[in-house]
Parts: sequence; structure tokens; C-alpha cells
Amino acid sequence: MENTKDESWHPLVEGDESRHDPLDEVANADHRKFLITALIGLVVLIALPFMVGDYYVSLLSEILIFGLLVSGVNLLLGYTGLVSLGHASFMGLGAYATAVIAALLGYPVWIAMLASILISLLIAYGVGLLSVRTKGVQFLLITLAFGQMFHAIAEKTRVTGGDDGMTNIPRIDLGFIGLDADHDRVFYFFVLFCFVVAMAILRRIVESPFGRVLVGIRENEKRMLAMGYSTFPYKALAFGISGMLAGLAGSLWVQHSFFVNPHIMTWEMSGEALLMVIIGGSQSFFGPLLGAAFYVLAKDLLSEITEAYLMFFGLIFVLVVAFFHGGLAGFAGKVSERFTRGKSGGEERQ
Amino acid sequence: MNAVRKITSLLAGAGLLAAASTSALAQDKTVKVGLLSDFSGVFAQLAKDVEDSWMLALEERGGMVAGYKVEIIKEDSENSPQVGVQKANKLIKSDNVAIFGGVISSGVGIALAGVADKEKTPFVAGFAIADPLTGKFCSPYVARTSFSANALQSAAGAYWAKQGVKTAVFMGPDYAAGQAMLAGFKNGFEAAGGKVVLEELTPFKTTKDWGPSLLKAQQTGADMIYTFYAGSEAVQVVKQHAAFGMQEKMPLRGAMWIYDEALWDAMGGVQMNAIHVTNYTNALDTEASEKFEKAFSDKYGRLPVASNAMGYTNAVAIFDGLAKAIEENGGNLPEDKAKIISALASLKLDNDPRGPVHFNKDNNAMQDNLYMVQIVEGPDGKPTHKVIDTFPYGEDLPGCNMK
Repeated sequence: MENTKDESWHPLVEGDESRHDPLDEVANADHRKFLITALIGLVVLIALPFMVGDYYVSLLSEILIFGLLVSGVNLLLGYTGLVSLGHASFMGLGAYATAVIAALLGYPVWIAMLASILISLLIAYGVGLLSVRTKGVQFLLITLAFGQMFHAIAEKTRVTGGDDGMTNIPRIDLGFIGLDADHDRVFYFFVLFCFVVAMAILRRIVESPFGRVLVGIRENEKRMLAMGYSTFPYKALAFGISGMLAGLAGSLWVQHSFFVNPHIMTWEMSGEALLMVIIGGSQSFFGPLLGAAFYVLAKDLLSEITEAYLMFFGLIFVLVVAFFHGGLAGFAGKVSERFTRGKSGGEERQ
Repeated sequence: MNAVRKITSLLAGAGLLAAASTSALAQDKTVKVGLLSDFSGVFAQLAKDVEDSWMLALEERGGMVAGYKVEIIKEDSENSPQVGVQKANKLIKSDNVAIFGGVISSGVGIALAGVADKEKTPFVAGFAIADPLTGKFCSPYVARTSFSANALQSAAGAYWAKQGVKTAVFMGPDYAAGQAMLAGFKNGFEAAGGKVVLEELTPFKTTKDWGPSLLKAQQTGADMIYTFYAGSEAVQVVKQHAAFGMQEKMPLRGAMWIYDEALWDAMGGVQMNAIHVTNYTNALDTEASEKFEKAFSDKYGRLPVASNAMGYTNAVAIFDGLAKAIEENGGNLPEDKAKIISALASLKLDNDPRGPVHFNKDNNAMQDNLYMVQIVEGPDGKPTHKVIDTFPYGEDLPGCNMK
């Protein structure tokens, strides 16, 4: 359990401040790149809603909500190397928790949201304790089984309308700052606020020693074990955190759509989340967000053109996997690299 | 200009205007109407049925309501509430529709009722029979032109109790719709003196063998089995019930879903002589029904079925409700869109193919009568409906608290 004392030989453990490590420079450059990307992204996300119509503002909210879900999925898929097919159920748990606490029990929405986050964290952690003992196909199937179980419970629960679901779920009351979240733009900025806070925390997590251990597990779990890490609690906690992000997404989703029913917990939803991650690029922090944006916008556009849009979706998916190594984010990274390196990059090739 | 106008109104009649640009006719007044329904997924056929009737109703009005040209914008909710909400947002915020309707699925319908209420844009459910849609989730921006599960099934229950049926077994799928149908049937049946001796709810979508359920039903010795199943489940239940030799002793009855015309071929004859309740059949011989039947079969070359009739009510209510709201507002579309729903709900649709239809205080459609029909051999040797009785309609469940 105890970390090895000699830390100089591998990059997974934070080095001594006084020692000069060439890897630190790489890390600093990465960090700078991250900050620049995040800042540009934030400016775009703040400016966009003033440039588009109400409908696209609601689509933007949707993208950010799915962005939270897929970032959670990516903590497992991209960082830890675990493929879960049950994350829609944690989104559903968050959604139902908010719906029940706010709409049925009548508590303020912010309390319902906090409760949703906590409930999804605890339940996902519990599920994680049981399921991360397995890997590969077994892990995929056990998460699928848990997902189906939660879906079945939601279908059977009569106080929440069973399969029909329930509507008229309130949005958060922002009256204390004089705003009405029923307006699309106001709600969008509330979602953006939650999103930025969650992403900042997630970034802190993946950059921490904890996050490095997760990457180590993805790369070679046996080596991590040999180095003295008990990988099990790391994986279980990663599962819990990723479920929590899904729960927050669910809580925002019911407020966005005023509605919840078991459809949100189907395994197809979990599959869509995986698709978004893979299209966007699972090996990058922002990749899944690109994937979510691409998925929502492409679906919106294609479904206007043809009812058989899923066919084209499949085609795009195949093309991305075949030609864009690392998804859209990998592609964007390559383009920007070539752009910044300019001529020298071109010469190197020759 | 005149020729252009003529061509475009023809297009509107054919329902193709959604794609056509209106820029050339900017001075003409246009009202946009959303047709949002489950065009893909298990309800695809029903959604198509509703659409066909919309186009018929629009054609009958020359593509116009009260001087406004009607532009239909069609969207597919894919039998998914998430997609439905997104498409409703598009219709409301991007296309600026005055009103939208359609929708088969109850789950989608309930989701859209919430959106309509929040966005203050009228929504008229075309099928979506879940009780809470115009009950717990009722709104001045929401109406329904089909019926509620309780109204239909409680009336059917009361009818059978009054016919001398004392005991019944209820069988249905164990999800929201099955439970609502059971509750409705039980309400009517037991209030009129009957007794439901067994409630057999089977796992939805996963049951393939109804033998154990049918055996349990047999052991109760009840007078009949009352069911709610649809699609392939209906076919299997009807066939297995017949294979058990229970048709004489314990007949299998239900509403239009279990013996839907579309399933007759798959049932292979065992549906003959079965009796079920419906809110419309093309065997009706009222003047309004005959007129609709002729118009529909002239346009599409086939006889209309219940979902066509419900789509027709949906379209007529929307178009005539719009016309009334526009006329009441001095020839202009009212700013306050709740007025469209209140105008719609005040309509008396005396010429509806289903029989006279009006709306109750929850904005839900009520028709004067329901029909008990039997599947018999028609003059051409093919199965057809025969109306064997007409009986009064039921009540909606309470629960609407309109703001």
C-alpha cells in the first residue's frame, strides 16, 4: 500500500519540488495548453448564446449537460480504461432524485440538486465496489446489468408515473439574484456555471496523484499492483466520481426538459454516451465534450434532412474511428500542432 | 402571382409546404402548425395513420384556416421523450409554430405537456391516452383529442357488468399503460356490480408464453378475460387463448388494441367472432362516419381505422380551433396562445366520424358513445367489423387543477 520511497524513476508520483525533472516542463507546457484551450472554450461558451436563437440556446444547454455525463464516462473509459454500459442509470438516478425531492416532496431545487449529487455518488460508489473487481467484457456486462436493474425499478415505481414518467418539474430558483431560470439563456448560464465548477474539479482530480494512478491502471494494471498500489479502491472511487457527474447531468436534464421517465436510463443512452466519448476522443480531457457537441448538433441537423439519419451516423462513426486517431480531439490536436509548428513541422516530414 | 399562389395552396393541400419557401408570399398570412409524432419506433404505423388524416383534413380546408395559409412542419419524436422535448423546442423556438399536435406515445405526450405549459405554446395530443396528461399535468396550453384510459375502460367495464358478467380476470402488460387500463376497467366494472377476481400483469416485452397466466385465469372460473395488449403481444395472447380452447367458456375481450385490424392476418382466423370495445369503426353507418370513410378511401384507397379517425379529430380540432381563435380575435392570430386552446376546447365536433365529440373542463375530448363491435365475415369473405351495441362514454379521472 505504501508508495515506494524512491520516486525519481517514474512520473506517476509527484516529484520533489527542489529536483529538476524534465518531465515537469512537459507537464507545465501541457498545463499552459490546457488553460489556453479552457479559456478560449469558455469565451466561446459565454458568447455563443448571444449570437444564436432560443432553440440553439436550448441545444447548447443540452450539449453541456451531455458534456458532464460523457466527462464522467471518460474518467472511466479514457483515464482508467474501463468501459461502462450503465452510466445512463446514474444520470437517471440524479434525474429521479431531483424530480422526487423537488416536484413530489416540494423541497427547493438546490437542495434536490445537492441530494442528487450525493445519492448518485454513493450509489455509484457502491456499484463500483461490486463491479470494478471485474474487467473487460465482464465489467461491461455487470454495469449493463446494474443499469437494467435501475431501469426496471424506475419502470415499476408508481409514484413517479412508472413508464409514463412525470412532468412539471421546476427549475432552480434564481430569484435571489433577480433572474428567472425558465428563460433559456438564464438557465443556460446556470448550466454553464455548474459545468465549469464540475470540470474544474474533474481537472484537479485527473491531474492529482489519484488521477495519475488511474492512468497507470489503464496502461498496465499489473505493473501498478507490482509497484505496491492497491488498484481496487482507486477504481471504485473513480466509478463513484464518474457516476456523480452523470447524476449532476441528470439533475440538470430534468430541469432542462421539466420531465423525467425511465427512457433516460436505458442502455441505449449509456451506449450513446460511449459513442460521444469515442467520437470526441477518449484520451483527452476536452475530447468527450467535442463528441457531445458533435453528436447533438449532427443529430439535430441530420434528423432534419432524413428520417434514416442513424445510417449516416453509423457511417460518420466508422469514419472517425478509422481515420481520426484519437477522435475529433486528436484530429484538432494534430491540426493545431501543425499550425503552431509551422514550417519546421513540414521540414521534419521531409 | 396568382398562379404561384394557386400552386402553393395546392402544395399546402398535399402537405408538402413544409419544405417550400414562403418568402415569395411574404404578404400572405401564414400560420405554422407542428405535427410532432412518433414516426419511427413501435408507433410508426399509428403516427402515419394520424398524418394521413391530418393531410385529409387540411385538404378539405383548402390548406387554409380563417384566411391564414397553414404550413405544416413535421417532426419525428422517435417514441423518445428526450427527442420529443428537443423537437418541441425546435418547433416552438425556431419555427415559431402557433400550435403543435400529433404524438402517440403517452411518455412523449406527458413530456410535451410540460414543455407546452412552460413555453406557453398549445399542444394537442393525438393519442397519448395516459390519464395524468389531462389530469395531474393538465394545463391551459394542453388539450387531447383522443380519450383517457379511464374514460374508455371504465365505460367498457360498466357495459360488461350491466350485460350480466359477474366476474372477470384482467390480463395486461405490467407497465404504466397496462396498469392504467386495469384501473379504468376495474373502476367501471366493480362500480356496476362486477368483480375482478384476478389481476394478472405480465412482464412487458419479455413475456412469450401466456400459458401460466391463462391457466391461472382458467382456475378462477371467471365469466370472461378482459385484456389490454397491443402488437405482437396481442397476437400471441389471442392465439394461445384459442389454443387453450377457452373461447367458449371464458371469452377474451378487450379494447381495439387486442383485435386491431392490422393484426388480423397474423392471428390467422382465431379472431373471428371476438367482441371488443372501440371508439370508432368503419362499420359505423352514421352520416358523418360514412362521409369520412368515403373521403378517406377516395384519397388513400383503403378504409380508415380507429387511429385514422383519432388523427382526423386531432387535425380538425387544431384547424377549426385555430380558425375560431383567429375569428374571435378579429382575424388575427391571438397573442395569448392559451386562447387557441380555449377556442379549441369550446368546439362542438358534431360531425366527427366517431360520433359527436366535445371537450370537458380539462380540455380532454369526450364522445357521446362507444361501440361494441364483433369481428365477422364480410360479404367479400374477409373479416370485418359489425357494430353490435352502442353504449355511453365514461368519465375522466379527477386530478386536474388548472391554474
